[in-house]
Amino acid sequence: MAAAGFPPDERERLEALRSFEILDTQAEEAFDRFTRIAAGLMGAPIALVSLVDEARQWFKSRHGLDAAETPRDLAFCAHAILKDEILVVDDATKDPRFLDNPLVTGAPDIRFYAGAPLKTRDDFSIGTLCVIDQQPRAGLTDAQRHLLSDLADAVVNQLYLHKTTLDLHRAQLAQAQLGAIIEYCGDAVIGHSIDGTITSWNSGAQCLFGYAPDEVAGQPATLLLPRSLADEWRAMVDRITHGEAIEQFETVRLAKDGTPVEVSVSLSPIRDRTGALTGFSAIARDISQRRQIEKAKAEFVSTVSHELRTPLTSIKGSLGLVQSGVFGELPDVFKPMVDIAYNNSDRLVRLINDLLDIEKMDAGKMEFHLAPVDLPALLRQSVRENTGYAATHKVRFEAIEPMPAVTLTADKDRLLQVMANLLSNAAKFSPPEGAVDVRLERGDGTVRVSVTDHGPGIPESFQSKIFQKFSQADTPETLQKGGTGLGLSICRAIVERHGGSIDFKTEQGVGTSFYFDLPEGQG
Amino acid sequence: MKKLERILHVEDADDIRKIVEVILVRMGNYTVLQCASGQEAEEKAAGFAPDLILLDVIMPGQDGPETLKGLRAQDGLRDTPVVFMTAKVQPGEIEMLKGLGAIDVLAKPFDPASLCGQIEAIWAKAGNTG
Repeated sequence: MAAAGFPPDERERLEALRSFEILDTQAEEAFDRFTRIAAGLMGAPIALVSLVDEARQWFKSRHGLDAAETPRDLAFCAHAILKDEILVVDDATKDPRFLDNPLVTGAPDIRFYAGAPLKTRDDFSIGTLCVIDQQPRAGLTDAQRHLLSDLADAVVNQLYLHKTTLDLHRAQLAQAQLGAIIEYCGDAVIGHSIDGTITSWNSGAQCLFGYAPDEVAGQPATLLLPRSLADEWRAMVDRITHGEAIEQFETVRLAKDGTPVEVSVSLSPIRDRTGALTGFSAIARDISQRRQIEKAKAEFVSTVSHELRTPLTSIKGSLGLVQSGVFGELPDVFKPMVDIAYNNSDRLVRLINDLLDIEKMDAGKMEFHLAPVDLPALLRQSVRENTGYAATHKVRFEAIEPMPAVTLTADKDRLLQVMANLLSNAAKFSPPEGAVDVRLERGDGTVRVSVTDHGPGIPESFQSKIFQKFSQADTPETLQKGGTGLGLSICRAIVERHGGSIDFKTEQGVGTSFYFDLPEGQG
Repeated sequence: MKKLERILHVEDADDIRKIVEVILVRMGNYTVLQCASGQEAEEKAAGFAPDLILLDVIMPGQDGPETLKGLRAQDGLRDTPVVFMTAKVQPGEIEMLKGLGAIDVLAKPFDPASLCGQIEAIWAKAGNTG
């Protein structure tokens, strides 16, 4: 007996076979019909749709045979798939390839075999449609060859139909899942035709706006629009029809009962397969609750800050008066204690101010008053204004001259706030009698401001966290220095709002340079 | 040009009144009248004829903005410069207070050593001189 061997494209052939997802599936009348017809036309007791995988031939349909599969090395069909034409064996007992094959010497006692290869559209033979007789025969007539070949083509078509049906079921399932997700996603998802007519309306939309789907289908989207926002809507539709998407635009719509609903709307163009615009989707999310929370939070922060500031005014005021000597000179033993108390009341004020700034940043409400700013003058001013602070740490702030002439659009007070933060950090971490340098350099379309100290450098473990809120290096030095851990986070927000970036360079035992880059000529 | 001499200070918190009194009288040498409420200020202001009014914002009963309105309705107080002193110092709040007709807003807590200097600067900016 001679095993058939493998075709040269065996790997690709097996991939083609698997792509039909038919192996080991249930018997189907659509395939059984072909084996019945083949057996009838050929007058043969056995007909099979045989698919040949790595190790076996498996029968998708079998007429006149009980076995569901046989090993590939015994399979006549494994020979048939190597040929372009029908393989015909008149008498297996006289064919050296098969005479000792167990399927010949025993059940099902094959004598005659005719197998037409099942060729895919990519020309891979994945199996056969074959007929078998237990009596030898004298070949096939031309008419029988044509019929068997035609039937084999029909089986291949049926395989493609099977595959297409599977793909279709999957697509339907995915569509149903997607539909369910859209229907119950909690947001209002509304489909529009290109002229703004509502074409679909999910339960989220019904819940948010109060209209049932049949009340809005075919209605213009302006049904939901407050009259005052007609221009805003026209501008949005104009952008969409030019292929733009609009993300999370906060606006107001009207519910069925006329109440305004605060929403965040995202609009996306919908295109057909050719890329032509056919409509657009709108996803609207109710943000009224979020707005209420934001308002409550802002009120809470404002109230708490006021309540904290009032007693602080008394503490700082009394200590300041005592410290000023207005009631007479303080005994030497008292003075350091009063200084400590006064400085810490000052620190509490800074903490409250930082907390207010952080709250504004988070709410996106940090206000910026942009105007042309003479940057070198601003840096000199910052050095001057913070000289007192430098003195408390026995360090010097020095503006390195000459500075290039730079004017940019910025919020002067906010940039002074950034400088005050960077200078105070540098002073805190400078050795006594050390200098802190302020430099201004012009780059390619940007300017760089740097504040350099000659302190111990930033511990490596802390470097990645340095711009995070409430971040302070966990070292004994830091704990002595005070500060809120909010300063650099605020600096970054301010610099980024000016279209710039902030970063640092540090070397252990040598010093640290914090710098920010701002685009020149704009803010 | 007029020198700043007479200041009316309206503040409900006893502690803060006491501190501001020391600052204005002992450090600034001003003549000062202090009132603990908006009503008291409305009753006594015209008689005192202040050059400048320092007015707390949040007070029980009649608050700072209401008091400002009441003072402005009185003859002799229509143009008296008013400076709010407040612990509510968010940018929106400062703008709102200026919009009510105050010439400036001083933040609490203030620095006792520089408060008189700040007041003089506001006085000068308002077209007066010290």
